[in-house]
Amino acid sequence: MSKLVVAVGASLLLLSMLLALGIGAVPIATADVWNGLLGDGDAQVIAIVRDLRAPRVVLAALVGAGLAVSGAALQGTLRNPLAEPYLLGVSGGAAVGAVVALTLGLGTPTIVTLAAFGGAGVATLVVAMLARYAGGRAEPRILLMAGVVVGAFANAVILVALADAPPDRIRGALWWMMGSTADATWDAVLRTLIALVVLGGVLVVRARELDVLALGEEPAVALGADVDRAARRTFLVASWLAASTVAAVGLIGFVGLVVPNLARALGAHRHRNMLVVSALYGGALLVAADIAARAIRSPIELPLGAVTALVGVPFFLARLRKLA
Amino acid sequence: MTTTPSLPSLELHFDEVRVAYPRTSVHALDGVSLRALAGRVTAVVGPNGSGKSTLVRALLRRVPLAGGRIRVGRRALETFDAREFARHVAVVPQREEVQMPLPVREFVALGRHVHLGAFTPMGAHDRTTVGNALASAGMDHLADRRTDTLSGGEWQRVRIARALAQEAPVIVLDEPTTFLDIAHEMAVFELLDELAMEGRTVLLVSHQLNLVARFASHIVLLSAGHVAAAGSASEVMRGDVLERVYDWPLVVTRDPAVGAPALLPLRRSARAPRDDA
Amino acid sequence: MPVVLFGLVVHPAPSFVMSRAIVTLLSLLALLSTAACKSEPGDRDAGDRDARDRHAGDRDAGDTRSGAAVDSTTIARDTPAAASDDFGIALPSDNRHASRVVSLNPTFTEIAFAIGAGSQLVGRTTWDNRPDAALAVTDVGAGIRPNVEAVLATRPTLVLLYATAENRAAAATFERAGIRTIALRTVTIGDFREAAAALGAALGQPANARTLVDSIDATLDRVRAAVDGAPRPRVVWPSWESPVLVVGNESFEAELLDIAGAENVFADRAESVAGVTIEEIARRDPDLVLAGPDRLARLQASAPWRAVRAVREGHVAVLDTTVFGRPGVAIGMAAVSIARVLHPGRADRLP
Repeated sequence: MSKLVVAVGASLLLLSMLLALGIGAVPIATADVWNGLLGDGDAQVIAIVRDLRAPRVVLAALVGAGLAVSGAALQGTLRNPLAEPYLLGVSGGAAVGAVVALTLGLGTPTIVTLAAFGGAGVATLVVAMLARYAGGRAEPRILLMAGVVVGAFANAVILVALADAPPDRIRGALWWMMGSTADATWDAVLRTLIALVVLGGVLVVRARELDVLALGEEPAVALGADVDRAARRTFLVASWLAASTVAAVGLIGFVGLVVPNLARALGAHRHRNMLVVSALYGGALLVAADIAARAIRSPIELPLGAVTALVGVPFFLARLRKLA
Repeated sequence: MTTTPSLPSLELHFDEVRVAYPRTSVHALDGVSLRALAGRVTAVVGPNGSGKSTLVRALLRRVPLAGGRIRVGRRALETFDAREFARHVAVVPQREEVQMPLPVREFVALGRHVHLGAFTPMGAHDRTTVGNALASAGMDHLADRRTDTLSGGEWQRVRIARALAQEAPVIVLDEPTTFLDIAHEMAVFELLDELAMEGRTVLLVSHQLNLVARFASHIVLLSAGHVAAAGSASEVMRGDVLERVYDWPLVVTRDPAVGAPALLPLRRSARAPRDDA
Repeated sequence: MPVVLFGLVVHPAPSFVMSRAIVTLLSLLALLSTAACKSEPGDRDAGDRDARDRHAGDRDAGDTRSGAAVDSTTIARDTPAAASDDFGIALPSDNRHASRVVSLNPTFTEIAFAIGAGSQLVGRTTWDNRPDAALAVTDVGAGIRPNVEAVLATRPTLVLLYATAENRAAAATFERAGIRTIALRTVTIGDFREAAAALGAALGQPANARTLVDSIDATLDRVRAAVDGAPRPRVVWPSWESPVLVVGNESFEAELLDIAGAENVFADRAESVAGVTIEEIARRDPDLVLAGPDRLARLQASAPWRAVRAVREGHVAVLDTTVFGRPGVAIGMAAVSIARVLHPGRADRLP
């Protein structure tokens, strides 16, 4: 069963990526898309396919995978199927970093990326420290509350930064916060790939520990897991993985929430399986969302974060009804 | 019966253990000492709030000690890290929810976590141990069922099997028979008896006085954080002691077929007893 | 903002989702409404320009029909100042209120000094930095959502506001305090002419205002004549990169392009600033990309922008950004500057 699920996920990912390569304002025949990838044919087509469409499609896949894996790991650690990376200060911290950089006029992509990642990293550490200070243990409840507090503080900082920024910079900051792969470059793709492989790799390797943590605090301790250390480590690694995606494309919510639940619904419960399945379906989902963002109101491009929100809200409502 | 490789014998000692929950003035455990020896079933009994579960939590180090010591064998508990502890002592906590539905075999295999590193896959020995654990708990016929399809009793026994898979010489169980019917309850107690006979140290927290009386070699009766009585069933199961501790009228009888004292609570209300002849 | 309304909630997940969904949708609407962001980085002059909501009723000759490039010759040159300003308030026909004037827009400040009424100014915005004499006037802060108290502290008799919805509250406050206000837009060259005429009347220098407008028109006519008959290159004028924004049809930049002999490939977008994608620009295949030096450098270094042929092949033209922040008194020279860039062969015919 799980092999089938993985195979289907990989196929969906591949198909959606190929589809996304063929879609855009300039009509390009499929054969030309393929040739363009290989470097043959019209210089214009090659430039569009290789420098414009390909990086954003690959980046969307990597970001979708990263967010899904991060969400899956956090849901396991916090034992809460409604946890997502943004609840724990990642989005607030990243937004602070990026918005401050943008409103100060330091809006080059490199600086914004670094600032976003730095902000998210700092926010995550603050959450971990707050949790330690508050309860001494990396308990889910305490982590979540610390995340909410850090998020609220981040909001305040963002509002202050935006308050007296010139209108054009505000627009740039808003655009960043709504999430988009439109500015994708191969550099960003490489950075995100490294983060996904390294950080995601750590989570996959330690997947059995996640299984044990997911049993509950006492059973996990009984089975020999150092619950506090493990929870803290998973929290940090998963948050940093999410932070690297935010640094690359801005805030894209709901992927980290929806996809792990989807993976579980498809029967992937052991975390090693679930992380891989989440990565595949998360990538496919975000590439599909990117297609929608470009196609729905062409030639205007919708922000990616808005499209995923439109998908996520009905899912969330459905889940709420099931819980009630 | 399954054959397990011989385990070292290890004792569990609680010496004058004191535990206080934060923001309370009364100690949940106030100088409790007990010893669980290898090869026998030691049971901790007592009314609600007497500190039984706190003992287990203290052992798991989820609550700090305000005084006293806990020793595993000759070593103090603090000298163990989490993994080492789980290799020596397997604990079956009182409650656990089915968070993650898994096939029973995989669920029991989680008990091997403490023996496997991050990169080590399950080996032949691991798989054998899991199989033995399932058989000991009488759960091998359900090995491929999903945990969310089990009944309450089956769930309890699967959790015991997981603890057995840890291959630890000491096994501690906190109220393992809560949702079990007579047959399953007896089966669990008989399993504990077998484990003790194999040389393991079995420490049991239970409120099932009558079953404890039949199966435990050593009983410790707790009352409001103190040890009210300790010893064999005959020594502890005495009407005056139990009435005082449980604050309820009762009578202790002895049925030759059972061979152990049995406790019968009496009615307090003034109405005449029903006579169902 | 997606993270706003996060806050202290009992059940973080549900209301967090609802808030995020609502706010995301609101942000989407804000994004889709037209907003002007024409500044180059570092150029804070344009900080005062913001979302423009066109009230069709207030415009007559200045209205453009979508699809047609703006043709500034259709705008009557000698139109007397319209009887009311862009907030619908009657314009003063003489200078009885002009003793102490606060200008909350760089264009108005420029006009005031150009027509010889600079000494009447008692307040300007932080971004009013031309001419140099303006720096001596008291800085009262922002022009959009002005600091009302700071303005009132200068005891003005007349306040000149940029006509955007965000300034309506301030305008009402000034009116209630018994101070006359004039609210005008300066999106197109026609707007500029009307503003000059209105301010000429209100500040007591109607003749100088006419002279100013006439001299600018004369320069524009000379530019038109100089490039007449030359092939008109198809251009794109990006004004922001993230998101990708380009000059649309309802703007003075579009008018300048037309006067200077070029076709804006996005002339079909009836907005002052249009949100587009790089691929759409590539599809329309302009012959030339216009932008300031910093932006051009970034575009040429950016891999995604290589999809646009003009960027790839280096057909770019550098604009002097100091004259393009807003339609000011230098607009004639702005037209000359663009014409030089677009038609180097006609340089000898240009002023």
